Amino acid sequence: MTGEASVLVVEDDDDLRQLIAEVLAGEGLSVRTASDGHEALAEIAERGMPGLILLDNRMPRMNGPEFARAIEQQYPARAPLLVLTAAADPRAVAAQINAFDWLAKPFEIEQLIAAVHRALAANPGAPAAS
Amino acid sequence: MPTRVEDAAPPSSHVAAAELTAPAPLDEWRRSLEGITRAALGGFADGCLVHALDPDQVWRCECAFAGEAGAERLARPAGLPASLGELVAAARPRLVEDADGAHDPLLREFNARSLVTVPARAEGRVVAALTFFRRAPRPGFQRGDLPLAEALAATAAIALRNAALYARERRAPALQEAEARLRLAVEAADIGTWDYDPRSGVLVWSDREKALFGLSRAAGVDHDTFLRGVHPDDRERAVEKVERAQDPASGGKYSDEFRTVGLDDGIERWISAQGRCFFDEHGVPTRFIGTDVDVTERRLASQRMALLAEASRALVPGRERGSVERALGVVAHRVAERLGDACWVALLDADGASLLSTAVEARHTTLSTQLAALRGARVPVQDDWLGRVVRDRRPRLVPILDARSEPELQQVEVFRPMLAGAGLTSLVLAPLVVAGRALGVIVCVRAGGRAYGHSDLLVLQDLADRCALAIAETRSFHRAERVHQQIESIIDAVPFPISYIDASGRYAYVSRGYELWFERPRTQFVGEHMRETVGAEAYEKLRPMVEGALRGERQQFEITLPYARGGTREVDATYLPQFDESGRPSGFVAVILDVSEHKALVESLRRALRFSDEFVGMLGHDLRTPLTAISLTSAYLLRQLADHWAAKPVLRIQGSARRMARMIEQVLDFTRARLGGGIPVRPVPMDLAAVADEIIVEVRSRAPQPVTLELAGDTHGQWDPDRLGQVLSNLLSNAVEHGHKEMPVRVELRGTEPDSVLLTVWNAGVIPESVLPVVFDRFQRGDADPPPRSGGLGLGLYIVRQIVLAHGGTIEVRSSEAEGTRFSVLLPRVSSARPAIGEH
Repeated sequence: MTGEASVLVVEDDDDLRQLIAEVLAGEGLSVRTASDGHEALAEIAERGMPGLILLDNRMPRMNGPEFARAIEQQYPARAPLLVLTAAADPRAVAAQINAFDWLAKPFEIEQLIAAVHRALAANPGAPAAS
Repeated sequence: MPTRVEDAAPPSSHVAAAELTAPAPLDEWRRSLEGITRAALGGFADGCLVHALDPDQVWRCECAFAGEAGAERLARPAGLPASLGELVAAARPRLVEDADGAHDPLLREFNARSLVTVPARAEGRVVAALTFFRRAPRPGFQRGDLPLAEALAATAAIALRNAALYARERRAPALQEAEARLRLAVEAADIGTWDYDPRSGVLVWSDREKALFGLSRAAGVDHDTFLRGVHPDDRERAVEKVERAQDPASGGKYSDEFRTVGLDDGIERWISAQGRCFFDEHGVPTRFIGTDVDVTERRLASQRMALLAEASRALVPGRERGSVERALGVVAHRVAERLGDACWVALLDADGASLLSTAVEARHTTLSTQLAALRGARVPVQDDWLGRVVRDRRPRLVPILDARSEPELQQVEVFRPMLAGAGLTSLVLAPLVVAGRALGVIVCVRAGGRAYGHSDLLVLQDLADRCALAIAETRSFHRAERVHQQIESIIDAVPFPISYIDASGRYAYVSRGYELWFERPRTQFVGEHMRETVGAEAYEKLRPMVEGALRGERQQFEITLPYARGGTREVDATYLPQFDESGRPSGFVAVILDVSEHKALVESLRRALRFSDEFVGMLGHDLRTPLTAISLTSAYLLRQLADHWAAKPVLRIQGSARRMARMIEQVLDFTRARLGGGIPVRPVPMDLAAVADEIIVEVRSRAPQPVTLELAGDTHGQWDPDRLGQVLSNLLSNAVEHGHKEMPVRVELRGTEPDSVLLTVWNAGVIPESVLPVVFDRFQRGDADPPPRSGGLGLGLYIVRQIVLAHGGTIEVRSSEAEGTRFSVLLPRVSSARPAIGEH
C-alpha cells in the first residue's frame, strides 16, 4: 500500500459516509471511515494519521471543531482537514479550525474529487498511512 | 261712560298690546269724583260737594245737585274752604241737622237746610271731604245718616286712591303697569247705592246700582231682583250675610263680595258691598242702606296674579321627560279656571311645520265637546289666521267675535267647531317665544260672559313667556342630559379606565373601565383620593406626574405600578390637564392603558417567531446532509451505468435534488435575512463581468434561447462575488424560464458611471400587471399561471433584493407587452455597508 494516500472520512450520516468512501476508493485512494470525532480519534490512534481528513462539522458525541482541537493537542503534526459543512458560512467554519479547504453541502461528486486531489497535492508531506 | 275694558277698546278690532291708549290721568281721577257725587244723589242727599286731593296734591272740588233734569254739575274753584280745613285737620264728621237758613256759609251758598261732612281717609290721612246737602222740603240729616255718609266716604277714599294710583302709574313709562292702571281706572267710578226698608220691603237702587246688576235705569227692583241678580254660586252666602246684618246681635254691620250675573246684559261682575242696618228700640231693623262698588277688575287682577303664581310653580323645569307636557296641562287647566272658559296649548314640532296639541282644558262640557277636535291634533302651520300669529310671534285679542273677526277665525279648520252655534265669543292668543323663536301658542276662549280685554292679553303673554322659558329650559336640560349620556356611554365603551381627577387629587368621575379593573362599583371611587385607590406605594411613583398635571402640564408615561388592589401592572398613562374659566388648572383627565398583557403577548409572539425561524433554519441545515447523499449517489450511479435507458430516472433524481437544494438555500437565506437583520455580505474587489461570464456559461447549457452579454465601461467594484453570482443566477434563471423561447435573454453591464455599475437582465416575456408590484415580496412567483416548472418557493427575487440592498444598491423591474421585462440592478462600486432592510 505504499505511495497510496489514505483518506479518513469522518461523517455521521451513514449513507453519505459510505458513498464518499466508495467514490474516493474509486479514485484509487485508501479510505478509512469514522462516524464521529471519538471514533476518528480511536481510528487514528489505532492506525495512524491519514494523509487527509474529510471532517463533517456537525456530529453527535464529538463534532468537527472538538475533534480538530483534540487532534491538535494529541499530535504534533496532523493531516490537512477538508471540512464538509451545511453551515451558512462554510468559509468561517473552515477558518475557525484552520482547515485546508471546505465543501458546502450539498456538493457535487466532481467537486468532492477535485477538492480531495487538491488537498493531497498541496500536502505531499502529510503523514501517509503506515 | 267708558268704565269697562271691553267698552274702552273698539269692540270689532283686534287690539295688540301697545296699541291700546288710556285716557288722560286727571280725567280719570275727576271722573271718579263725579261718580262719588252721583252716587250720593240717589235719594240720600240733594247735593254733594267733594273736596279731594288730586294726584298733584292740590285740593280740587266737584259739586253736583239734583235738579229737574237730573244731576247738575256746579263749577267750583280749587282749594279747600277754611270751614272744611279744621274738619280735615280733626278728621271728624260734622253734622248740621237743620239750620233753617242759618249762618253756615255752605248752607247759604247752596240754599240748603242741612248738611253732613265726612272726611275720607286713605293710608291714615284725610284725602277728601264729602259734604252732603239736603234742601227743603226734605227733612234734614240726623245722626242716623252718618254711617251711610261714612260708608260713602270710605268707598270714595278707595276710588280716589285708586284713581290717584292710576294717575301716578300712568306717568310711569313701564308698559307692564298698564294692567294695574286699567284696573284702577275701572274701579274708580263704579259706586252704586241701595236703601232697603225691611219693614215694608221697599228697595231703592241708584241707577249705578242697577247697572251693577246688569239692569237698565228704568228697571224696577225688589228683594227678589237682588236674589236673582247674585251669581248662583255666591247666592247662599250673600243672603246669609244680608240676614246676619239685620240681626241686632251683629251690630248691623254688613260687608260682602259676590258676583252678579248681569240680569239683562249677561255680564258677570264682582261686587264689593258695604252697608249698615239700623234698628229701633225693640231691635227691629228699620233701615238697611249701603253702597256697592264694581271690583271685577280687581278680582280679575288677583285671579291673574294667582294664575301667574300657579303657572310659575307648575313650570319649574323638571328632570323627567314629559314633565313639561304635564306642567302645560296644569297651566291650561288653571287658565281655563281663572281666565275662562277654555284653554288650548300647542307646541310646534321640530321643523316648525305643525302645531302639536299638548293640552286642552275647558270649564264647561259644551265647550269641551266643541274643542274635541283640538285634542291630540296636529295642526299644519299654513297661511291662515293661526299660522300668521305663529309667524308674527305677536299676541292677538279678539274681544268680541264679530263680522270681521269671525271669517278670519273660520280660516283655521280646528277652530270651526267652536265657532259654530253658541260657541266662542271672545278669544285671546299668545305665542310661546324664546329668543325670537316661536315654540308654540296658548289660546284662551270664552263662550259668553265677559269679553277679554287688554289686561287678559298681557296676562296671557306673561304666562306664555313663562311657559316658553320653561319649555326651552327643559329642552336644553334634556339635550344636555342626552349629550352627557352619549359621552358617558362612549367613554364606557372604551375598554380602558378613564377618570377625572379634581384639583385635590380626588376622583370626580371614573369610567366603567375602573369597575372592571379594580372590581368595585364606580360610586365608591368618586370623592376618593388617588392614594387610597392605587395604594401608597403606587401613588409615590405617580406623584410627580399627578403634581405636574395639576400644575397644568400634560403627562404621558409608561410605568410599572404595584397597585394596592389589582396587582402589579404595566401601564401607559396620559394625564390631560383641565382648566377653569379663569385659566387655572382645575384637575385632569387620566387615560390609563394596561399594557401588561400586551407586552407579554408581544414577547411570546416574538419568541414563537424566533423559534420557528430557528427551527426552519435548523431543518434546512440538517436536510443538506441527506440531500448531499442523494445527489452524490445519483451522480455516482450515472458514472457506473453504461445503459443510457437506465440513466434517465437517475437524472430525474439528480434534477429533483438540485431543486430541493435551491429551495433549502432560499429558505436559509430568508431566515438569515429575518433573524440576522439581513443577508450578510463580504465585499471584496472583484469584476462583475467575470462573475456574469461564469453564470451565463452555466445557464446557457440548459437555456433553449441564446443568452447574450454586453459590456460597457469598467465593471469592477467592491462586492460579494458569491452573492452577486446568486443574484445573476436567479435573474437569469427567471429570464430563461419566463422569456420567449426564440428571443434571446440579454444581460448588460454598464460601468460608465464613476460610482456605480448598472446590471440589466432583459427577456421578451411579460410579468402580469397584478404581479408586478409584489414581485419582490416573499412567496411570490414571477408568473403564477401556469405554475413554473422549477417549483421554487417564490423567495428568489426576495433574496435577490435583500442581497442588492445589503450592497447598498437598488433593484427595479419594468414589464410590458411592447418592451418585455427588464430587471435593473444599480450597485454602488463601494457598497455602503448598510445592513439589509429585510424584515422590519
